[in-house]
Amino acid sequence: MRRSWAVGLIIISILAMACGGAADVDDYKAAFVYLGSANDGGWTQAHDEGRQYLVEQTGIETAFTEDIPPDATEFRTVAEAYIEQGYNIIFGTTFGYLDIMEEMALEYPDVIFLHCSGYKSNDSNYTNYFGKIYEARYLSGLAAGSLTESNKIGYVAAFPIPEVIRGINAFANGVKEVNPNATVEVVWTNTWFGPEEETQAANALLEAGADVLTQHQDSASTGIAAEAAGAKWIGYHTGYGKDAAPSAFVTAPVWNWGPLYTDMVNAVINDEFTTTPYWTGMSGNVVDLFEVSDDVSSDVKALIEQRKQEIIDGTFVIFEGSSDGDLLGMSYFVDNVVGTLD
Amino acid sequence: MIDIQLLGLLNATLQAATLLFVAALGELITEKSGILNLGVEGMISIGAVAGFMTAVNTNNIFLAVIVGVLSSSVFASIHAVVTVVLKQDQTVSGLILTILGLALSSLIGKNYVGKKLDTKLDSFFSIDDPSNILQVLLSQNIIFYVAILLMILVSYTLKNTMFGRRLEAVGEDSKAADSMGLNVTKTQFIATCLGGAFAGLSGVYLTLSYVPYWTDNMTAGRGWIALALVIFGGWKPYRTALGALLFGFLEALVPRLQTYGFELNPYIVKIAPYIITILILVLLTIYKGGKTGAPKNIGIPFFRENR
Repeated sequence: MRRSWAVGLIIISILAMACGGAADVDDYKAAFVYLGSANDGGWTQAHDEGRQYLVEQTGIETAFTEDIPPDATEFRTVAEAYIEQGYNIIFGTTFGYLDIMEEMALEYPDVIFLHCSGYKSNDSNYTNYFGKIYEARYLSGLAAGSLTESNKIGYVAAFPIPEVIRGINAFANGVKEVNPNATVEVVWTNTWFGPEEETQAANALLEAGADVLTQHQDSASTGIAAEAAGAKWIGYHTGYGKDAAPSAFVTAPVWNWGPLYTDMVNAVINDEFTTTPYWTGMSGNVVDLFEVSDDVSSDVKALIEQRKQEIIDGTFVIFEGSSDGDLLGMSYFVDNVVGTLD
Repeated sequence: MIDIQLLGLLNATLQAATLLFVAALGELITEKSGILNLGVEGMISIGAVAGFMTAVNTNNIFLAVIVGVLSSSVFASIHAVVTVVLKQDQTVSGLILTILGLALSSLIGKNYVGKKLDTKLDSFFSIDDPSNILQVLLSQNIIFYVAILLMILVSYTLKNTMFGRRLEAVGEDSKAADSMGLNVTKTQFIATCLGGAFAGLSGVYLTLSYVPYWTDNMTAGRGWIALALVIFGGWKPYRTALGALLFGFLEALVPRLQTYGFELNPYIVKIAPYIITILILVLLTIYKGGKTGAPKNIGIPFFRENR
């Protein structure tokens, strides 16, 4: 008699474990591989804030490794160590992990690989995600266009590739809406991160007469240069530039990875994960504009809010008549941009 | 009146050149004693972060410079211990110094990324909008003038003082120098630490004036250009200064050309310092039978027993 009770209990508990297990966060561990350091005040910090948000929302166990260059061997070493420790969701947050993540996804079919800013995916366990930061850049262009007195806005830009060009054009379209006379002058640094190159480029633009600067760069050099020259500055990635250049700082297009990370991980936990790439913008709450300073008039602030809502609702389109494919391959400047393109 | 953009180009050239020159001058002293230190990049980073942290915490810019210079000097003494005292491979030790210096500066500077600096290294004369060449020259940072003084001082010391001759003797022929009663170990140790101090000064110039904040990997390869500069300058302070102006000019030129609508391929400019240096070595080999000006004993550890 007693024995059959025990057997029954065991059967019940096995059943309970099996049912509960399907949607149990404890069965998953997520590891993040970062390009830079988690407090770099820029790209990597934005991802790490996303990771922290993910932990708060889902309670999943996470880990991260910093300063991993876009190098196949280095990435593999780190990712394999995590997989051995039972991590089954791997986030890679720089473009350069593209091929090694594809390769490892084949080798480890039970591990989900999520790659930021890439374009590759398979049909089971590897996909990519990114945010439409250009939507926030459009809004920051509205602020910049309203602030310039010299009608010259300087743009310190990394590389002439579609991602950067798209941002410049969206920004310039924003400028044009409030100030059709202003031009956006672009100087390429040909580096994502180069404090000195960025400083030199920012100073070159200031000397050429720009009184508002913005950037597609990973350091705050542009802001520091603007601060020293008494110019205004629109940052990038996070709002931390506010501390580094308090009187120059106006606002910044910022990343907000937390909600997307939560969605992706919940999809995996609930067995709803698909490898359709995630490319969303303000409507998906992945990008945003940092709180705008009082340098900007309340009229323009109201316009920014209005456009933001319209972008979220889908009633305002920044690049009229362009498909996602056009946007992803953009290689021309709109007419109020001054700069060189090969 | 001269175009404001041309003045900007001059200003930017002097800034970029100062950073390169001070570090190169230090390496020149070290190499003169026969010690090759490939750790310039790491030493600049250490000075840069130590100076920045001190400035943020104390708001005392003078103290910040001293701490930056001393930190790099102490850091360079690792190289001195390994290569001068323990006679180990200078190339390996120098490379370790670069890697260690970059990693260590990231580690200790972690909480200082993006911090605002309230006091910066000033210029002697504060001229807001320089409108002629003289004003640009006068509006430079204090370290710029210090660099000029150091150039004259080092050049004089190398040629005309006892210490300079000792350095030269040790670097050219350490065994002969030792037989003459010179203390080779002491001379090389001092020269290596001096090189570190100069790199530290270059580092504080970077984070307290030129690009006044801290983030990982601030130096971004400037230490390597400084090393090329020593070869370019033929181990002579004045020629090294000329090289620094040339390399600084190239760095300042790229973004400014773009504002005029020209584009110079940036990769060509990035490799230019190294290409120019190699060309000079090739030309010296062809026309001067390989007399580059390099100290003969460079890179060779001195063992007294081998006499």
